[in-house]
Amino acid sequence: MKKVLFVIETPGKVKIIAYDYEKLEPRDYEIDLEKEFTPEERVKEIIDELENKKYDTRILKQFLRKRGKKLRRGALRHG
Amino acid sequence: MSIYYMDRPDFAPIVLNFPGRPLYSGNALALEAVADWTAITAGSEETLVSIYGTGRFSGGLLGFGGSFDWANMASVEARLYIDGGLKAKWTLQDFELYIALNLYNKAYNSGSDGWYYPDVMHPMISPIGGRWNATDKVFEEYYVMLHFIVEFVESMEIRIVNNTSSDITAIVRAIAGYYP
Repeated sequence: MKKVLFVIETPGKVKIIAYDYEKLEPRDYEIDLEKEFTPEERVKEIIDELENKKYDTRILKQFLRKRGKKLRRGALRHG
Repeated sequence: MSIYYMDRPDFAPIVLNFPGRPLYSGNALALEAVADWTAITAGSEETLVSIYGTGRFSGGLLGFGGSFDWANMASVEARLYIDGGLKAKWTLQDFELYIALNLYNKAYNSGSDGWYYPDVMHPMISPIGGRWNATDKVFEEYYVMLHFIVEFVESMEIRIVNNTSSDITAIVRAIAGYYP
């Protein structure tokens, strides 16, 4: 597999890194949850864009299933 | 064909393999995940860093702000989740125990406010400094270094649990690398 995706979620931010091993230049997408009102839709757009570029987007879809509706401003609360 | 001849990038060679879970070496693809100071209210748990993908966590920093006397240090916990499951958890007291309470005793016995640093460090999990309030006998800031490797195939999370009766803040910096 020459193209990989990595998602880093921190309070208020989601960073998606698309790495193409043959280009050695990662493509970054950063979603600022303070400013982005529809983060779920934005992730879907990124999925479409990456699928067009032949990335395996399973990890993003899995992220969307798990976190999509819970993406909101600030930290992620469990307690 | 040996696994060493598999089509892998040079910067992520396979160094070990056991059924179902390959391990790789190489830091060429290291990334930093940073969760800046985040408030964690009393009695709650916050996920400060979540990483989704296949990769490796190879160290980081935890910082805590609040009012941590010895009792409170047992009530603040850092939890490491790998592939959805809780794999390790440490209270601030646990971190101190890795260095035989060196930082706590040094600050406690000093009798004066200020920043203190331990004389000894644990090579994998170690407190590295704290700001001490000698009047209240509490740490107002407390920092811990993590220096170990954990592989994950789906996800990794660092959560902080605040079981004290007051709000705290926390910061996490994590170094991780991703694999094909």
